[in-house]
Amino acid sequence: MPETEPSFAPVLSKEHQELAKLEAQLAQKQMEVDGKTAFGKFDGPMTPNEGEVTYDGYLAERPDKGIVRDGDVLRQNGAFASVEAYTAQNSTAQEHYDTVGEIDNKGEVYKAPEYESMHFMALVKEAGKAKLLGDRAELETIRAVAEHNLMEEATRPDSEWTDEEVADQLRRFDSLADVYVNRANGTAAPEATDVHTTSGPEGAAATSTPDAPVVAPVVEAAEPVVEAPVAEVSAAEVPTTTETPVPVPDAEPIVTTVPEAVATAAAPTAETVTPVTPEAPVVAEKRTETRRTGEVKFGGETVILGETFSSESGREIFEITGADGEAKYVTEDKLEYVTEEVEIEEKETLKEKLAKLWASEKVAKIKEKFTFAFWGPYYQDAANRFIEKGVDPEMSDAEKERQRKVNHGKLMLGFAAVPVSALGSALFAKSGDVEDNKEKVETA
Amino acid sequence: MNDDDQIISELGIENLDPEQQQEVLNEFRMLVGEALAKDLSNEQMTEYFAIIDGNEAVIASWLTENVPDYKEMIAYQELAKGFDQDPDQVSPDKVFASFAWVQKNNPNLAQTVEEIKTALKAHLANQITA
Repeated sequence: MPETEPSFAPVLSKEHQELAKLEAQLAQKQMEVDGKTAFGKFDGPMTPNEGEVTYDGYLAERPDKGIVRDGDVLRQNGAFASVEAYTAQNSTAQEHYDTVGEIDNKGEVYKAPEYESMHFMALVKEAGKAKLLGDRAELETIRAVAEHNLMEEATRPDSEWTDEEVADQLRRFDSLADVYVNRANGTAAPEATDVHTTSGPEGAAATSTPDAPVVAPVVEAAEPVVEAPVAEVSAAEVPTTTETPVPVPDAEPIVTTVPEAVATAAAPTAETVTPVTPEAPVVAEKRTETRRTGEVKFGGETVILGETFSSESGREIFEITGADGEAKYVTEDKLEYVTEEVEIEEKETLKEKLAKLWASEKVAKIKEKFTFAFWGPYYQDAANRFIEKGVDPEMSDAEKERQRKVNHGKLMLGFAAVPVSALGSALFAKSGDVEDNKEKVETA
Repeated sequence: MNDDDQIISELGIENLDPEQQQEVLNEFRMLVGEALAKDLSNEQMTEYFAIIDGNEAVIASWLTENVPDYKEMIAYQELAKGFDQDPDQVSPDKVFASFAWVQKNNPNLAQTVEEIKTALKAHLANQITA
């Protein structure tokens, strides 16, 4: 029988073993409690110091759903707090809005422009936009619609348009679209009409008289005025030196020379030395610059096209001002402004056309109203009833004549008023107006 | 479409016979003339009478004062075309001054014309249906 060495290790009783196990569990629990205590779990109802990390704060901010870290990768833990949370991550924007309900993101629904229902200038604007975007396909579509509309106009039974006129209109369409693009790109810069002046009626436009065409004054270019304070230097205040440079930022130093005799007379002691340090010059912080980009003169009225940059708002404002200085159109949208510019030009062209049409095609009819033939047999009967209106047999011949004259005047007033009301200020259109306008606008 | 045709269309009297149409047109112009005359002073009316009567002094004076560059205007130039060959020798100064005077002295011209057109159209529509 082999000998065995006796074991000297202490033999723990069952009770001791149990004790050791419980002590280990206690230590573990104590560690957990210490950790929670460290995070403030057992703090009383005290308001934590500002910025202090607390257990409640930790719980409130702890992410508890969505993405979890799994080793080196992030994965969805499969648990979403709600259907909305799920759709928010997994649906398209519109599906999400549909799920949430009552919110419809209409802005995302694309609606093709209805070119067919647009008038000529609206199509020009769309063509200009397409050119700006370099969208040739869209440009061709728009041009095709414009051509179609023109052809429809030309083939109406009472239309007087010729093929050449249709071709002219198409050329005009292309040219206006180019004008639109040039304006939007700002590729055409103003020359003589450039001004830098403060905004307002005085700076923006000339005063208007109804009798004569207005030419807005071109104000000489001038930088914004910076008023640099120039210290008043007197001999009494500056007794210690004969030359006192007064620094004026952005300007040549002003050297004030005090006559030596006067300086000496004013007790030049070291104690009385007072250095002249003028206050810092106040540079105008709010600055508004208006740049006139064009001028349209028509029928005695001047419309000024301008861009205003306000350093206060940091924005650029585009405005069209009348001769009276009143803003007729103001926008921050340059494309809108360009459209309005082009349309103004177009309106002016139409005015000239209207005047020519009125005065050339209808001139014979107008003259007719001033001839005896007009008051001939056919019209005499109808006209007499008006001419004799209010003429009483009891009246003296002079009174009758006066009444007939008044009636005639009213009738003539009516004859003149109807076509003139349709013509408006185009009556005063001058042949050079549109050419002048085009030149100015094209160089602007 | 000339002025008369356009007004006939706007008033909705295309179905009337030409004489009736002419009568309505004269009525329309007379109504417009009366409405405008209501807002004019005696001095203004006298000035207008002188212009349509062809008083050259008044015409020249009014044009010089109110539309000094009238000879550069398209409407005037068109009116003056063919003056030498015109058997009636209708003075372009007189015709242009007459129209320009109406435009300058009636600030609400277009509105007045439209109002009368609307009222007359309604009146005629009632008459036709009655």
